[in-house]
Amino acid sequence: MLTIIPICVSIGYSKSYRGDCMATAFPPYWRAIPGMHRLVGQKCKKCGKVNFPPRKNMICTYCGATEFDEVHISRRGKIVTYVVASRMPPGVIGPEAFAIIDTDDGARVSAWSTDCFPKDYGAKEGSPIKCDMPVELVIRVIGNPTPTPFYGFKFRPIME
Amino acid sequence: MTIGIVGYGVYIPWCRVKLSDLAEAWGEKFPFPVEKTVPFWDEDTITMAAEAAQNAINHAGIDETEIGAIYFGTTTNPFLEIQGSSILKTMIEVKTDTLTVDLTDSARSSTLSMIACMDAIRSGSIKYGLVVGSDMLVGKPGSDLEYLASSGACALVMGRENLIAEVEGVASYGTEFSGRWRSETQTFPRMTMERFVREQGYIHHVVTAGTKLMEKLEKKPDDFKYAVFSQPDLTYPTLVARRLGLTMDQINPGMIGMSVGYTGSSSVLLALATVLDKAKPRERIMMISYDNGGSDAFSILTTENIEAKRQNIVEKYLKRKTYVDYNTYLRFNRVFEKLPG
Repeated sequence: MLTIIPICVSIGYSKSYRGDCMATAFPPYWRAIPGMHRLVGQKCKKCGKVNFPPRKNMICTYCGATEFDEVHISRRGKIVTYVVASRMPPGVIGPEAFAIIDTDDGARVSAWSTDCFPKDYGAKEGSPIKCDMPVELVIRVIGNPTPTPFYGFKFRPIME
Repeated sequence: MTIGIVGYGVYIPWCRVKLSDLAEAWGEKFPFPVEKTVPFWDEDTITMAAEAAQNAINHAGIDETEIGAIYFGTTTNPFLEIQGSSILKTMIEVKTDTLTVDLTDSARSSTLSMIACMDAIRSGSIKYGLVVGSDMLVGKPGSDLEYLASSGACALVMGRENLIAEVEGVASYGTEFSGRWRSETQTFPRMTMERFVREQGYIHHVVTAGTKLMEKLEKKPDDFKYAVFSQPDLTYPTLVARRLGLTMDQINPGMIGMSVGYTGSSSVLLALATVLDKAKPRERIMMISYDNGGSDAFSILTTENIEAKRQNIVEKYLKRKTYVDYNTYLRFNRVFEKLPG
């Protein structure tokens, strides 16, 4: 039973590049800052699983309990599954991979790729993405064409 | 009581472009094995600073909440009216009452940040301070400034305890000099005659600040094991070294400009980090920054803790790289934007 809320997709890409939405795009981002800047998730007091991004309705996705502890989820994990997107919105230079990642401490995160070329486009050496590949989450600009700051986590292949 | 560096961290982007590729695009030749960094398209000054700051805090081994102030030195803040350090503050989880200071408009702002941070620690108002130099420079395509302008970040945690290197003394020197400038409406920086900038700007200021430092501390050039400088041009440190009485053995270890280019305010701090990666205990480092008619010279002495805390972080980031072509370099730096539709 999994619920993945691609928070960076809904905030960073679909709303932000439409100029008229600027006034309304910032408040949801502001509420999501602990998750997007610091990877703060909710650990269920009953089942012990981590909900990320934090649930606004305060109900655990896994067991329905309503009491949580704030935790920082690990920045390292492995790719569960991914898709490569080739047609990107204006301002985003693609192709980029969008992946579901299981972090080392058991949380499930969805993020876009960075610091890798899912397909060869201009790079002399590519770095393809695979399932089970160890990755780390790093902070990047996720809504680049916007005049407001939109920072969030993206994943990159792990540094040796 | 001595004040100094507790930990340091760097961030160097993944992509590199060879300067020979860059010259070839303009029908020129560049026969030297020099490369520079290219920021990935989704990076900016603040994201680079965040990673460098996190690395510095990890290296220092302190709790984030003990940091009393963040000094952020940059010339390329992504926003004219949002403080870069206040965004940085939420990313590295310091306390909400942490002082956030942006020092901007000069590549010397990183060393000015160091001086301001040391003064705050000396006065007792903060225990630890975080100094970050981060820059994302882009030169106008086809211009001389395009060759070395690149991106990178370096952060230092400064304090009084558990030092890996103590700052023995500082000397500053500044005059009015406009060799390289960018107004609010200009996208790319401009520069006056290179020879004038070199002789009357860089060499004059750096040599004067270095001489003042040695006079103040009563040290000779031989007392320094390493010397690091800002590297707006890779030949400048050599010219300065000769006038200061330093040898090539002292300046070569800090020439990180060969691998990353000129990274603006972080240039001198990256050079310092490179040297700190190699330095043994009780070795003295001379560090001199420069930008537009101003130089700050530091004498830094490493302590015994440096061996225990060695991480070789610069080498790790330098190893992690991929080469991109000139077109990708232009797209990633947003010199040209793809139009929708």
